[in-house]
Amino acid sequence: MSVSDENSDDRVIGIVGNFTDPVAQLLQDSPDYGGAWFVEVVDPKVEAGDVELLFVLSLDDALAHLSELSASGKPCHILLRRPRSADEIAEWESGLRWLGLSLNRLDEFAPQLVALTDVAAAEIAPLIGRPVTALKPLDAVKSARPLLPIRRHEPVSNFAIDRTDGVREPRRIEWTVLNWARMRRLARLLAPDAEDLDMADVVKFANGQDRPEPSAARADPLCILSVVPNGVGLGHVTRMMAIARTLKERANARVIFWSFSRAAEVLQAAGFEVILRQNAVHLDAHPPSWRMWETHEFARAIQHFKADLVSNDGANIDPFIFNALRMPGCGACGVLWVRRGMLRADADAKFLELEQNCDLTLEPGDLAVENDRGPTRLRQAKLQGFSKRMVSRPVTLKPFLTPYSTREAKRRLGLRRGKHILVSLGGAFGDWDAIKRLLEREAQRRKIGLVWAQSPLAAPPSDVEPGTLVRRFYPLSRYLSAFDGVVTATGYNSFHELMMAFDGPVMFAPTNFVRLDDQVARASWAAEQGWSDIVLSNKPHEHEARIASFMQQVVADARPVRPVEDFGGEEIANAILDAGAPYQAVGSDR
Amino acid sequence: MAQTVNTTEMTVLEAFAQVRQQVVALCDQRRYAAAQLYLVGSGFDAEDQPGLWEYVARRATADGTDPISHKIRTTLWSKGLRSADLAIEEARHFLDSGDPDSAGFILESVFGQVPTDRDARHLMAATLMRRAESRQDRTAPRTDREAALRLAAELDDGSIEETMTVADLLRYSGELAKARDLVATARHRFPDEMRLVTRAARIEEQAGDLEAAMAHWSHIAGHSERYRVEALFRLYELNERMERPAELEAIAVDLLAAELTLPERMRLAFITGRPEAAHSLARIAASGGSEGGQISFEEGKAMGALLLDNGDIGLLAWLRRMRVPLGDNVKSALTSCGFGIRPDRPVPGSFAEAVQLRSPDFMVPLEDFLDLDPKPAGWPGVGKRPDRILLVNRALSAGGAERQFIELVRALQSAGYAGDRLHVALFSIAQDRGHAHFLPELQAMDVTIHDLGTREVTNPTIPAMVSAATEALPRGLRNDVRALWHLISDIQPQGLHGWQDRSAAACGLVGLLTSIERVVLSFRNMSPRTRRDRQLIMLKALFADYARRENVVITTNAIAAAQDYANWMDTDVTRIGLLSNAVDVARFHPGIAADRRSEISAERPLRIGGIFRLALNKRPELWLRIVAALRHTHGIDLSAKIFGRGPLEDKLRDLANDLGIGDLTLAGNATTPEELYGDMDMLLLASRVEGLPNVLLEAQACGIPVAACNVGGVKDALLLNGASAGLLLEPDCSPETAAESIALWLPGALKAPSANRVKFIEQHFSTRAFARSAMLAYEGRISESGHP
Repeated sequence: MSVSDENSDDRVIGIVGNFTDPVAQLLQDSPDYGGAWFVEVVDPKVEAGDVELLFVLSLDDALAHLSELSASGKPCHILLRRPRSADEIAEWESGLRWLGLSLNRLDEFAPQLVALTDVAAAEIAPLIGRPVTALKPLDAVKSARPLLPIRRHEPVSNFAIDRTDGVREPRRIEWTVLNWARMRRLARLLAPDAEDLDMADVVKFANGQDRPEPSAARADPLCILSVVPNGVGLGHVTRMMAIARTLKERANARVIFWSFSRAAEVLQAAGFEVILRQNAVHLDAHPPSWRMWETHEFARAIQHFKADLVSNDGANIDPFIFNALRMPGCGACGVLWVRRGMLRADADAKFLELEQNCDLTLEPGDLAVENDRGPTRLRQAKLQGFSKRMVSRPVTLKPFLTPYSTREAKRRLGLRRGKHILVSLGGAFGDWDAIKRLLEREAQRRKIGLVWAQSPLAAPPSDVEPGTLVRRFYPLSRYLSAFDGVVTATGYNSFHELMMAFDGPVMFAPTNFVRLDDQVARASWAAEQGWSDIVLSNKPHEHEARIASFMQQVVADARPVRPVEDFGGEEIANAILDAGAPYQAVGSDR
Repeated sequence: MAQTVNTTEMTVLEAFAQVRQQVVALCDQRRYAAAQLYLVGSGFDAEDQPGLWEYVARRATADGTDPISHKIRTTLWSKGLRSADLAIEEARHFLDSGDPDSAGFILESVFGQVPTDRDARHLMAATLMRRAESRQDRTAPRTDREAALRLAAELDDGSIEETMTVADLLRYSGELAKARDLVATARHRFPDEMRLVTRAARIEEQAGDLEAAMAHWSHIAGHSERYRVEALFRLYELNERMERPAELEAIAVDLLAAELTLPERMRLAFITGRPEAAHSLARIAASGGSEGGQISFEEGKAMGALLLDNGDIGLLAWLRRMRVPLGDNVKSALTSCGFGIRPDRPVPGSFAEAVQLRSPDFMVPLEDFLDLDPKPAGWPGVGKRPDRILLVNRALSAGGAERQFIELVRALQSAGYAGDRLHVALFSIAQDRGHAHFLPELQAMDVTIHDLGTREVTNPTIPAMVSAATEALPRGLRNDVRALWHLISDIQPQGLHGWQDRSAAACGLVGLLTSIERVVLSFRNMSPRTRRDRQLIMLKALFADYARRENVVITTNAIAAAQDYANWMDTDVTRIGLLSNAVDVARFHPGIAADRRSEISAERPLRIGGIFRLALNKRPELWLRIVAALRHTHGIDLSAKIFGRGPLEDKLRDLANDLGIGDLTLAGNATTPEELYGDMDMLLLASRVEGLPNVLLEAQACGIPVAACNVGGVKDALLLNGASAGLLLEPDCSPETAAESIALWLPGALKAPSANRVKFIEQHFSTRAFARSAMLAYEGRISESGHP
């Protein structure tokens, strides 16, 4: 699937000036310009061909491009703004006069001069000697929102959120991270600097004007554009599929995956819409160039699908997502950040500051949370912005999958009778060969078959020894009944699927190859609770005894204790629908 | 491959003919390298048969194959065969490849210092010009005066190119009158040659006759399509200097309507103070060029230079990333600053991000930028007086701050600093540019003077750290810092004192680069923001960084100025000390005015004086209207006289007539205390912006009553108590209210004893008080220097 030009009948407005200027971002909510596609026009003479209207963002942009604007032959609206400080007044006045005089010389070029507010229009018109009309005000956002002060030279704003429990919570945000169309949905804006008349106008324009009748909520179901990074395993995909399924069941939501992962096949097989993308490494491209390209493509997708939320699962979020959200036409869209906990204690906490870009930071619960010493549990973002934070119950695909019977699972995996242990070790587990030899020896001694799991994302192995059973299958939980025991690394997914869906013996062999995932803490907690056994790569002298003990449990059909936990689908769905609500309720079209 | 000729089996003549034939044939086939090799193998070496070699060289040159002809000429030259043609070709080659020194050597070897050959003379002139231009440490080229005069003397009916080059040599060597004459004569011979008019205009600009220069440029704008745009640009800049807003507007609109190249449009944006318009145009460059065409190297180079001078370092990094061709200086600046090299200095991720990355803002804190180890807290301590001090000022023009600079030198001498202990550096003391007004006075003192504009640098290499600190600075400051760094490396003072903003900007940076213990930065006016000086406003981050450093002492000359600078630099006003003005009371004393105020009666009118530049900031129009109201509304019998020149002179004459004070005397510039204050009964100052006006101090030192608008440091300069007090007028007073206040105040002020005014000046503005404050600054005892 790709982003097509389905909306090619829509009006295209060419923006001349800084494409991420607040006013450019707000135009999507304007009664005059809303619903259009916005494209950046750098050279009006060359690029005006496909646009219906040129919208010039400032006096300086107009002066810089006057001849091209005139030569383009396109209808043109020039936005004239008031000065940003007293220091600018002289240049502002002279610039207006110069533009007025220049326009007098251009008989065939009659742009419409517009201002953000009536006051600005009245102030500017006599200086330029031409009529200036105020843009139609935006519809005010009705919901109760915190008050956010915006000072041009103070990139960080302090504000407060009134929580439902009555507590007033102080918050901070670098307000430039947000698209103004999004910001006005999240906050009532305030311009405290009396000298900055332009900011006062922009804020007044953004806050809009009350209309007699409340605007009706849009009937479309929630639409989420879900970014799947090119992760090591299938964890991101699995979690997002679980959430997508929940939302589909709960609110008929549409989830479209923007996938950099080869798991796209898995997603497609599961019936989801997928847009397969290539990252800079795939393309061998210069990362900044790739990012610019991806930003524009992603922005087109947001507009095309009219996405209400963009989601990202992972500790890091590539800047192209936020860059795209700042593009004009992309402001009616929030961000859902699915961020797993159990990060290693030494993980840099800086990434937490990405919270300010988000509407909801959802942390899928971890059964081993008591052992979590990572920054998501012990640290807090300084810049939380408007983001709500939610820790849900563990997220797995289990509720949506019917497990195969033992017989069916064995048939599908081509396993004979007898006992089988599934082995899925991470690639960076200390002396991999040594533990492999131990497992094979102990299993052989007890006539237990070992089934080596291989990631569905990996190519089939070419150097397998004869007699070794290697199987590729997904998702794990449907096939667990085929096994009598499992030896595995301790990623979030495997861990929770096993702890919630498997009743046989489990031995965890945690790897800390994944820098941000504290598998040791997770496996240790399970071992302490008696849910499973553990072998640690840094204690090779214990391996033989532990493996032997584990094998003995398999032989004995042991049934260890397991936690009682279920999937918190309902609470997750509600939180996500809440996060998407501001973007569904407002706007002339979006 | 050519065959070797066996000269033993044929006569030399036959052999020569054969070689010649072969060489001609190869040249006809444009195989010049083969012809050269054939000659090498033929046995007819350059020494024996130079004609053949020269033939190949000529043919290769004519066909544009200069490397081969140069190689042949090199061979001939090394054999001592130095013909006039060869020298001219070789000199041309060196000039084209940017090596004027080699070109000059070749020409001088063959033709002497003053060639009689016309082509050689022209090349010699061009060589001298290029030499001057290639000295990058200079803001304007300075040519060799003697050489220029020699060439000019030989020039009788030279070509247009030669004439222009010699004219340039003359004007860059300061021989403006000769240059003017040369161009005027040439214009008779080439009446339609517009390039001569541009020379004439530039000569007048340099001579300070802006009206004449503008007349030339207007002529060019009206008569030359080719040079019209450049003429309009020059007219814009000159009218800005002349403070003529209506003319500026008309030219700006003309330029907006003109067909300009992308770099010209960017230049227009910057000179009209519209950097955001320039950024909008840079977007076109970043996206590949205007109208879909590629940015040429010349365009990229021109835009790069403009952006660099305006502090747009982030945009330059972005443009380089977008593969826009840029000049070597820009590329070097980006590399020196470590963009894309140092992990803490990534290339901006987007155009919008790039616009935010400004120079010098991105360089602060400077210690971090330069990876300097921090000095221990408290360094260099308080109370230690530097043994050797270097004072730095821009120039010695005829201005109040420059006069105070001289007073500072005088004060330091009185405090024991003289000879090798006190050095004075000036970025320019060019006579023709009016930068040497106070030079004789300075030369009469026992100090070591350094002219940074012409000072020879023995080793022009600068360390990487200095490159990193300077290359991304605006051009003026970049050159200042380099020139100053070389000097300081040579004389190694312990104290560095920058006088006025621009010198202070350079001193602050060089002080850090050279670890000078005490740096004093003295501002002598209101802040750049108040003065709307765009070039200095750009440097705000740098000044704020200086103010943060413990070894830097910042002073202003008035309390209001200290507050103004503190607000502008976002620093605490207590960081700023006071180094007021000094009046030489031996020169300005009541004896000058001879207390003739008692004579004011029916017999003679009141003599109101004004001393200021006739420019907008001084509000001469308000001054005239106040005087008119005193005469017509309050019936005061008066005569008015203004000392000063400036762009508004003509307008003021007209206005004076309209206001009924046609008897106003516009006395031009006067210098002696007697001329200025000898017959003045009252001084009136109506400026919009002032630092600490010298004229108020001097008038009071002479016992004269003063009235002035309360702006800047005016309040600090006035005796405010008692019957002899001066009169503070509202900053934005109307002529009527001001006249009314003066009419009420004046009779008492005239009768009051003038001794109180004199005493006030002696107490607060004497040379001794000045020296004391300066010493406190050098010792780092800022809290004792009378800060606000």
